[in-house]
Amino acid sequence: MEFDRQYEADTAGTPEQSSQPGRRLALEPAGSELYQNVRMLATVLAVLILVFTFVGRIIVVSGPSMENTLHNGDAMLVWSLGYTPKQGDVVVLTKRTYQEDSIVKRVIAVGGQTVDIDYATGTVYVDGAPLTEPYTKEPMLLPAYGEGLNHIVVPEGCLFVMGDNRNQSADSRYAPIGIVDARCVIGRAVLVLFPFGDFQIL
Amino acid sequence: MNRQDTASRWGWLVCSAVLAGGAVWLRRWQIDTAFEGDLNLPVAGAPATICLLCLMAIAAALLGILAMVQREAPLPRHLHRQGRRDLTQATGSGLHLALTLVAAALLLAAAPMLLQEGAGLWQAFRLSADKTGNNGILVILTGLSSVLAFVGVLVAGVAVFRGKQGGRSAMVMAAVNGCAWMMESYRGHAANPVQWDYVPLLLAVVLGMLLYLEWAALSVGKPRPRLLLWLAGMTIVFSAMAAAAHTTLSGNLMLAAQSVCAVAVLWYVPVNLANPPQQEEPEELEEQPEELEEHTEQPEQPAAQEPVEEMEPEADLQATKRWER
Repeated sequence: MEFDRQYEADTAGTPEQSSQPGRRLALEPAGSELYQNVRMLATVLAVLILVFTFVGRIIVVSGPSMENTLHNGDAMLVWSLGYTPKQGDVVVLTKRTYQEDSIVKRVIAVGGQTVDIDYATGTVYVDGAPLTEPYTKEPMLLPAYGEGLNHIVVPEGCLFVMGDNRNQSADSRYAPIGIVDARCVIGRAVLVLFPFGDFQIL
Repeated sequence: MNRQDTASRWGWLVCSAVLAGGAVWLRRWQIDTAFEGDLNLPVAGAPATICLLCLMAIAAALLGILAMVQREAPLPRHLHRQGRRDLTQATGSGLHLALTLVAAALLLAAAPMLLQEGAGLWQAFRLSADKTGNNGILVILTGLSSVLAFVGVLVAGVAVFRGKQGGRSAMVMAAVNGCAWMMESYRGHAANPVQWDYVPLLLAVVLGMLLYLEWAALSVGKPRPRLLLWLAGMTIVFSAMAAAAHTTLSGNLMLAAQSVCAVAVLWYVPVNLANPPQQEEPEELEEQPEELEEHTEQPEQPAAQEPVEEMEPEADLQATKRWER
């Protein structure tokens, strides 16, 4: 804007003044430094928070339910923008009827698919086909609460999720969690950022 | 002040009020119809949500157009270095003082509620076994910065009322409160998959924070009056939208405070922008006549040079003024 250019020209002073740093600082009113610092802080925070809200965020894993894929304390990048859950993805979701904090699980089946779990062989069948699951920590045992949710057809718009550490995971097999609405998903875990020793693309 | 300038003030206020009213109505409609189930999950393609999104876009565009067509009188060159304090000039205005006191009081009233809430969260966090969840630190920080904002708004408002040049940059402290509040709003809803539960409040907080910063920029930064007006209108609209949902009382108080500040901006800035108030020349220029008198004493001695002497003081004065610029 012309007004802005005029403002810049007038505050710059003469060429001799501009070349003298002390002289230029003397033209700025008191409180300017505080204002500049607060402005920078506010801008950085606003951008970060808006990016975290709409695009992606960093979430720290709590608990052992996704071992050995994710460990307690791992900071992972979670992508939210335009994401639709797919089978096999590691997702972060919140089911508020279960708990207020979010949980990290793997999508085993999406809407319309059938899930059958054979605890005798520790195999999960989706639409009758056995899943190849190299990510599980150990052979799956029957949970303490029994079979829980099993032999079900996942409704449209919903997901069946399980943790990779099958014997220490509260997931869709557990009735208080059960089938999860896809709208409860915050985003997909894309990679583990740190600790650097655990860095991996998921 | 002519009728056109007064009309521009009312144009801003009426436009913002109408948009805010529409936002409140649509938000209430959305809450009643666009969420379902125990988890309150959003219904895809709900008419209320679509209408609300359209209103947000219309508000941004309409207020932007108002800002672009806002009449702006050229400012005298020698006042440029002082920023644009003149835009918020309201010396002796009882209305401005009242608005300032109300905004400051609202900020102060929010502080004890926030501190109490933060203390409760901290207690619960300390007693919890797994040490997860909200520890309340950000809530306490927001409460403390709310007191800071109270001081900042009060100092800035009193400075305007008394016609003082200094003190107006204290509005920066209100922006600091906005930073803390922004972080606390996000932290409280970081695990919430339903963005509509917290995005209107987050946007209202961000807009209010930017409004305080641009207000302070009139004194200590790069003044952008049109952006200031736009932010004031948007703050009123989004604050109303956020308050229409089930926010906490402390949150509503802070939303009300920033709305009152926005109303003050819309009341004074459009008129002052079109009619810069009469200002005295700054003190540094007032000192020059004494220095010039000392210089003019010297050439008076040689009588033969009198015709030239009469011109020299003016030439010296003009040269000095050019140097000062």
